[in-house]
Amino acid sequence: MKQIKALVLTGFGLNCDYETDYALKLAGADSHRIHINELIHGAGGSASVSLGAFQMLVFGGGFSWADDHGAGVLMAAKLRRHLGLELEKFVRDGNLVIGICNGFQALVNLGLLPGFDEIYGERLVAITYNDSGNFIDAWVNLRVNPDTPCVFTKGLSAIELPVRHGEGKLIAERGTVESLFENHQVVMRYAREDGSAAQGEWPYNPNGSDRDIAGICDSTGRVFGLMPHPEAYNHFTNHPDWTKRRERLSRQGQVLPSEKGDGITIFRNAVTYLKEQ
Amino acid sequence: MYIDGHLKGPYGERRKVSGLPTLLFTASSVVRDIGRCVTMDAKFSGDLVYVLGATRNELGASEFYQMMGYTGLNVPEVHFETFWPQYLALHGAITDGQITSCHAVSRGGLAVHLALVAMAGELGMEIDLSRIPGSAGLTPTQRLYSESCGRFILTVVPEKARDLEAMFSNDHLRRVGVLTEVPAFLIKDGKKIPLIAVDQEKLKAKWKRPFGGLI
Repeated sequence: MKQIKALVLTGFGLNCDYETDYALKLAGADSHRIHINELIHGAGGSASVSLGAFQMLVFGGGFSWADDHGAGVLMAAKLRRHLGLELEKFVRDGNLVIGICNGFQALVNLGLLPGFDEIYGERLVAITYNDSGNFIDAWVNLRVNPDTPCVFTKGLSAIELPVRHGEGKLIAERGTVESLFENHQVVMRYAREDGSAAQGEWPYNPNGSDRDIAGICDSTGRVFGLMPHPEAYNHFTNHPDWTKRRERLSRQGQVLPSEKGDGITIFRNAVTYLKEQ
Repeated sequence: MYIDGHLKGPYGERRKVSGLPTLLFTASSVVRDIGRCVTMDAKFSGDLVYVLGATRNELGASEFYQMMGYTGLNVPEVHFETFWPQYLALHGAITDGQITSCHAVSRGGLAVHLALVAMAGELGMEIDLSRIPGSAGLTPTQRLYSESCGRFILTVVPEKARDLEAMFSNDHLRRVGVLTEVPAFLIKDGKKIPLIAVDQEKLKAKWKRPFGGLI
């Protein structure tokens, strides 16, 4: 069976790499944590790690370069300087890229998102400070766009995931936001518990993001960035209400259908997509 | 010193005050099956509320006395021989899935911690203080705010009540009330007018107030 190799970046203040690596393994990927410098030197030919050996590149959460100059800014600058063309080639070759939280911030700064008409490298979207002015750590309800080309969210209509960020508010020029919607590149939006739109209302929309946007993809659907952390819902006990859910099921004489958390679906979709290629 | 702080002296100066050298223990353990774990939040209206462990006249150095500007004399004592079998029985009940929520009573006493359980579950609660296990002849204030050790608040589905009661003696475990859908948080003392009657949401707003707009 075809093994899907995933590369999870580590180093320079990224801190979700172990959990992301674990989630990818649960989803069936052959995942590897690779230091940013290993990858960069690999591009120069001196070290062993080359992007070409992988089918999925993961920009995980954390505080790369301590969020200096804005979250994800220095990470994007470093990768563009050393890997710019190779990253674009990686995407054009049909591979997958996901950026979670700090990784999403890096992807928009790199211009891999929004990537209208497969044109990369332009910074059209910013992810900036939460309206509340504070770091927020909470679970949110998300509504998934059924018409998005995003391969990561196939089959999903709604999902609950945790957010933890100080800079999660997506803003862009009106025309850019309109294009994101027209192309169905808005993958997921913050919602209320009943699935209706958050309409900017706190705490349903935790950061004041424009039109409740929580995650976007490029025009191919193979590059995906989101503020919530799918890797942090890898087991049913990650959910804050799990003891209540267990009790409800137990009183109905049922047991949990799966120990896996819903966030794994996003990684499993990626693995399934790559296997089918 | 490990435990110290700065207090204002009589002339407004900062004075460092250190706790006396005290042996402290922090215990942790591995849970064999996380699926068996029980959290503190009340889960469903109609569930019964139990208190395990006796309330004594132990308001010394309590939150309540501190608010009133007193220290008091009767500080809480740990009665290991009494508590240990209760703890083991409680562990057994949790492992058997008998208990829906469990919360230890600490700083502030029963009234505070009953409210915490209700707030965490976003449910109402109706409690009869005259039913709690404990010393005879305690005043309502003592029962509400005493900080006696070795106590727990449990919530239980009614169908499991009999089995649970059979695991403990009546001296230690008593059914004291019920969870309700209505947001009213009520603590009565027998049939008299409630000692405490307040909306659970109001309690929660007050509880969160020290955080300002941060959460």
